[in-house]
Parts: sequence; structure tokens; C-alpha cells
Amino acid sequence: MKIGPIDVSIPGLCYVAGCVVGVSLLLQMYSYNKDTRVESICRSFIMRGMNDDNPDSIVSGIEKCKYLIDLYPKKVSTRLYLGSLLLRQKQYQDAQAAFADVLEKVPDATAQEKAWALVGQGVAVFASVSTSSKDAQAKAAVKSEEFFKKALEQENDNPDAIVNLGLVQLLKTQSGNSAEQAEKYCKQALASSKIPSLAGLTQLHNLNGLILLRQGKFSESTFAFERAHALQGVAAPASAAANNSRLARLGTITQPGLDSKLREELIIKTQRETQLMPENQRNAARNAMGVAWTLIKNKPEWYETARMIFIDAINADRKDPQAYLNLAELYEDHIKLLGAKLTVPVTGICGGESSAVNPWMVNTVAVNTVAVNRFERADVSTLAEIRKNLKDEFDVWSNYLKTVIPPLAADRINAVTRQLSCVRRQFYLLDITAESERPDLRKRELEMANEIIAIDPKDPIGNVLLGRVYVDNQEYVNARKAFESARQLGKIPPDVQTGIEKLSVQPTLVGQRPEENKPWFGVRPLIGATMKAVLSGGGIKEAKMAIDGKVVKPSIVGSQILYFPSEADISDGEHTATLSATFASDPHPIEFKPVKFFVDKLPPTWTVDPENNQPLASKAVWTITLADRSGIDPTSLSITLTSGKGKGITRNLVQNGRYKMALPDLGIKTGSFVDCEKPFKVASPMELSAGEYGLNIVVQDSVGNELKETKQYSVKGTIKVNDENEQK
Amino acid sequence: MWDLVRSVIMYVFVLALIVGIFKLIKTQTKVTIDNNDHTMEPIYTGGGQSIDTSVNKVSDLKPNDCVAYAVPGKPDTDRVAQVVAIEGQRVEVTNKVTVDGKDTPFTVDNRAWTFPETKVPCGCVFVLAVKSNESDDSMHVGPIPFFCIKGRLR
Repeated sequence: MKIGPIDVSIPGLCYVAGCVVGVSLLLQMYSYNKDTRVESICRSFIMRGMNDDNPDSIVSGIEKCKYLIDLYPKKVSTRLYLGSLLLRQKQYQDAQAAFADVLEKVPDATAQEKAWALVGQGVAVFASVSTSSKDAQAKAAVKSEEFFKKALEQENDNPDAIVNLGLVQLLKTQSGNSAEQAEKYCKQALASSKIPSLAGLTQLHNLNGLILLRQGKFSESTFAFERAHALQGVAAPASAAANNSRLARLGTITQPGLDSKLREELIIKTQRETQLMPENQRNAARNAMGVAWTLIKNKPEWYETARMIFIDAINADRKDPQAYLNLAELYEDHIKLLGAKLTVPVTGICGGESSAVNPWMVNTVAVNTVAVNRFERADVSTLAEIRKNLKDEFDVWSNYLKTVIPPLAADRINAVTRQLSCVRRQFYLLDITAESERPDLRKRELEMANEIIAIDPKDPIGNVLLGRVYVDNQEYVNARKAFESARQLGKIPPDVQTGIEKLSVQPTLVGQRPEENKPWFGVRPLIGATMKAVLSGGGIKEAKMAIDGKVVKPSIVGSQILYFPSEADISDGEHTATLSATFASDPHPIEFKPVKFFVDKLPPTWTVDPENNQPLASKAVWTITLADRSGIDPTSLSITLTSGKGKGITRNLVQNGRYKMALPDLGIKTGSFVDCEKPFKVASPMELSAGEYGLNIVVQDSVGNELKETKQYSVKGTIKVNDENEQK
Repeated sequence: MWDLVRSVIMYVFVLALIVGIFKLIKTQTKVTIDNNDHTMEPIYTGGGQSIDTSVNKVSDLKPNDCVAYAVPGKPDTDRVAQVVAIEGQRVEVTNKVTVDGKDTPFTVDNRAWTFPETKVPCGCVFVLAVKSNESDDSMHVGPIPFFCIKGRLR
């Protein structure tokens, strides 16, 4: 078939018609799917913008959002995506406007969509000042809070709004009330049945971690941060959540009471992540790991591992003060444990070096240590290790002072104080074989104490320590001056206050011999004076004594002044002793009150009635009178009756001052005391047979002079003597 | 002459139509996974994978579904993995994988790696690859936002 110039065949016409139908169908389909297709194309750009940090992708995403909004102004999700993309682009004001448009231009939006838009607005407001000052952040937090509250009005349990409300509470102010509010919102969000967005849930765990961290719940805080970190992906090691998680873990591994196994696992985890941490946190991690190892003392390697970690920390950052402080504390810890192993306690080691050492105790022990080699053989290796630790610790503090150069005087003082403590303990640990090192150590102690004073002359601690060093050196006058200086500068420890009082006491006489109520002496009197507080006077420098005006040379033994004359030097009778003492602190001697005393070299005297060589009745009774200047010692009285001359029968009449047998005629019972102050009677207990008898007396006066004498008598008549108490 | 022109136009048109349709089908239903990606072997290997793009919301997915997704932060990298949990479910990975406190058949090849127990956030899924250690699954990048999901593998 021919139509005009065109020759149309039937198959060709069918073919063309088919093509036209097909194209029209395609055009219809194209037209029908336009919305979906446009959205689909734009969606891929938007999603890419949401997922890609490349600014171009974000810009493309924003453009597509705007294009879609122009086409479909009522579509809320596009507006929400636009806001989110603008947030990613850090166009916070535009983002806020985009979110605001949801409320203004799409009144039909659901409550949930409106709530999301309001949360977005709040986030945009706060994000705009995230790098500004704290004040600006606090103000923005207040403004954001309004949006979040409005979001809750739209959807009362919107979890993102609740989480953000909790966060702004922390940022708003630092008051305790805000923290409580934050905790309340955090709990509310955690308990909510609705699920927050990825960002919201991450923030929720971060918020929970921060709250727990503030409460000192390091372990729980770590897990909260780890949740936040996991949500962000562990492939993002530099994220805030990752850093928070690591920092919280540092708190956790050093938390006392943590299970050892868990602590070790966390240490290993921390160790593995140390390289992922920002440079400024790595040493914090090393320090925390070292400290954590010191808390696992059931592991034998704890000390060496912790030591190596702290040394690593120092090597990594030679200006990190914490590493030095930790290493020094580690040595202290180790010294304490080594001290506990000692079989014989050592001053300054067992129980540690106290900052408040009792100067009197220190002095006593220090004096003893000089004279005695007191270390047990079993302790030698332990003590050597302690000495090494003390030297190492001293070096740590030296390096700290030289390298870190702490800006605060208090830190420098602390360092030198710890050095001083190390030297003091080295002094205590010196064996008798190392006596020659003592003066050097004492000199170093003095230098260090003076160095502390030089660091801050207004700080009393320097003078306190100087005083203690002087006490160690037994320089009590200087010690008192140093303590006084410290007291003038400010508050001083109570033991130093006590020390000043003790050192300020004037030496006094607390005892003398002879005592006032016992002035009598025997042939060799010990004349002495006991002083109190001689140390406060710097010790007794010189003592002068005179007896009856004649100067004698007494001995000084600690706080005592003693003189023991020979028998020939002092005669029987009354004497007067005078004493004066000069102390190191004062050139003027202290004169003590003269003391009168008596020397009694004569034994007691006795008179007997009847007198010596008188004939006796067979029932004899003697009346005896004793006399002595210093008094009779009644317990020394012994009287016996001897029959015959030479060897005969001896009867005890009085022994140790008691009647040996009853004398019914005289009313005397067996065992009753003899009253030596008055004339007393003794009698033969039975009829005496004819013969010679001797009455023997032995008695001492109160100073030990003894009377031993016999008086002879004769009796006529014969009576048999049969006494069970008789002695031969 | 006219016949020749007419035939050429017709053939070009038909060819363009066919190519266009194929192109449309390809961009809408296929993802290409790096041939070096062995993380889902033996279930899936690298190369082109057909996907069902009719997944419009998270709740369209369910555990055990295999999904293709752009790795968050790496939009040019496509991965495939199995859905373990969807939004609102509690997931925890220790030496086993639990969802809402119940054990699942999923495993993680690196047993030292853990994921603390937490809810899958709104609009996200928690996915695991067979060889998690070599993958960019949720153990590495956290829950995958739904906008990164490209579709369910056929």
C-alpha cells in the first residue's frame, strides 16, 4: 500500500504501531513512576550525604532535599533529613530553620515528627556554641532545654528529648541540683519503652557513664561508656565515647576492691588500646596500669611489672610528674612489704616512715642503733633490698626535681621531704660496719631540711623537719629553736608542739641521795642527784660537787650526777653536800639546795641488866636497852644464850627481831616482835643448871653497822635442860 | 535510502530501549561486592548480587535476613551481612550472641571480641558477617542505620 510518496507495508505499519504503543506505554510508566523515581534518585544522594563525610556529598544531599521539598512541601521526612544534613554541614542556624519549618509549614506532621524536629532544633542551638565559652554553652543549654521540653509536650516519652534534657542539665550549671535532674532524666530514658535513635542512645550511654563517673562508680561507668563506644563502632577509636570509655577504664582498674581477675583483664585491654589513645592520654593509661598492678599483690610479678610501667611512663614523658610520684609511691609500698618480712623490727621501716615521729623515741632508738649491730642474719638480704629501694626512691625524687621542675613550692617541698625521709631511713639501716657513713647522712639531712626552708621560708614544715633532724642528732637546743621558728610561722603538728614543751622545760632535780627524811649513811655514802629534762638543756655539760666545802669530782651518767667516796674520804658525823650543774644550753650553772647528811660508822650500843659477870638466878631474866644515832634495824636483832664456855648448848631467844619461844612469865608469845625502841626483856625459858652462860647479841643499825657481843654469867644449882629448839 | 534511514532509526531506538531497561534493572536491583570480600563465604561470594529493594522500613527486615549495606562512613563500600537483631532488641556478643537474653545460632569468629549488651537503636539493625573479624559489620561499626541498607539479598 502506497500513501503519497511513502510505500507502507502492512508488517512495517504494524511494527511502527507496536513501537508507538511501546513508547507510549513507557512514557506512561515514566510519568506514573515519576515521584517514586525522583525520590529514589534523590534518596541515594541524601543517604550518601548522611553517610559520607565528604562535604560535596553533603552539599549534594542538601540540594536534593531542597529539590524534593520544592516538589513535595508536605513531606516531613525530607525536611528532617535536610535539617540533619545541615547539622552535618555545621550550618546550625539553617538546620534550626529547616527543623522549624516542619512545625510551621507542615501542620499535619505527626506528633512524633514534630518531636523529632524540636529535638533537632535543640541540638542545633547547642551545637552552634559547642566550641564557645562555658558561659555561652550554659546559656545555649537553657535555650535548648526549652526545645527539648516542647518535644516532650508533643511526644511525652520521646527518648531522644529525654536524653538531651539530661545532657543539658549537666551543661547548664555545675550545681548539684542539675546533676540530680540529669540522673533523673537518664533513668527515665533508660527505663523508656521507646527506643532512642543511634545518636540518642549513644548520648544516653555517655550521659549514664558521666553520671556514674561522678558517683565514683568507675566500673559501671566504664561499661556505660563501652556501650556508647560500641554503638559508634570500635572502628572509630578516636571518638569521644572511646576516649571516655578508656578514661573510665583507667578509673576502674585503679578502683580498690575490684576483683583481681577482672582488674587484670581490664589492664590487658587498656594495654592493648594504649596506642590508640591520644598522645596526651597514653601516660595517664600507663600510670593507671602501674597503679592497677600495685593492687594485684597476689601476683608475684606485680612489683616488677608496675615498676617497669612507671619507668616506661617516665621515659615516654620525662616531664610527667605523676609517673615520678607513682614510682616513688611504688618504692614506698615495696619497702613497707619488705619491712613486714623482717624478723626483727627496724625503726622507720616497720610501720613505715611516719611524718610525725616521736622525737624522744627516735632519739632513744637512734642511740641504741649506734652501739648495737642489731640486724638478724635472716634479714640481711631484705634489708639490702630496702636500702636499694630507698636509694632508688631518692633518685626518683632527684630526677623529678631536676626534670619536671614542679612549679608549685608545695610540690618541691614534698619532693625534698620524701628525699629526707629516704636518707633518715638509710641512717637507721646502717650496720655497724658502715659507721663512717653516719656523719655524711646526718649532713645531708641537715642540707635537705635547710633546702626546704629555702624553698619557702614562710612554710613552717621546713623548720619542723629541721628540728626533727636536730633531735636525731641530739642537738636539742637547736631542735627547740627550729621548732619555735616553725611555731611562729604557722600551724605545727601536735607532736612538735609537745616536743617544744618538753624541750622548753628547765632541767630540775627530781631526786637526791641522801634523801631529806633519810639523812643517815654508812661508811661509804653514795651521793647523787637525778635530774629531769636534762635533754632540753642539751644535756649536762658539767657538774660541781663539794662535801663540807671540799670539791669532789662526781660522775655524770645520763641524767644522774653521782659521787661515791672512799671510806677514808669521809668521817663519821654530820656533813653538807653542795651541787651545781651546767647545761649545754645555758652557760649559767644551776645551783641546787645544799644537802645535810650524816655518816654513821659506829655500831649500836647495848646495856643489859643484870650486868656482865653477875651471878644469875636459875630462872634468869635480862633487861636489854639498844641505842644508835641512825636507829636500830629491828629485823637484824638476834639474841642467843650459850651454856658453858666455848662449845656448849645454844638457845635462840630472839631471832630476826622476834621472840623464838614463849615466855609466859613475862607475857610474851612465840613469834611476837621485839620493840627495840624501848628497853625489852629476854629470859631463859626454863631453869638453868649450874654453870657458865653467855648472852650473845647481834644487831645492826639502819645504815648497816653491826653490833656483835657476848656477856658472861654464872648460875648455881642443877636442872636438866631438855629443849627441842636447842641448837649445837 | 529512506528505508535504510528508517531501519537504522528503528534499530537504534530499540537498542537504546533495551539498554535503558537493562540499565534501569541493574541500578535498581543489583549491588556489587568486592571480589576480595570473603566475609560471607560460603553463603555469598563477591561480585554482583541481586537485592530486593522493596525493604522500606526496619521492621521489614527480620533476623537471618541477609542484607547489602553501605558501610557507615564508607559510602562507596558495599557489604553483605546477616541481620541479627532489629531496632529495640537487646543484643550482646560475648563468646556467644544473644538477642533479648536468648542464645542465637550466630557466632563471632574472634572470640576475644565482645559487644556490650545494649538495645539496637531506633532505625538501625545489628548485622554480623560470617567472618566478622574481616568484615565491617556491627562488631566494627556498630548498628547499621537503615538509610545505609540497600536491600535484602535474594
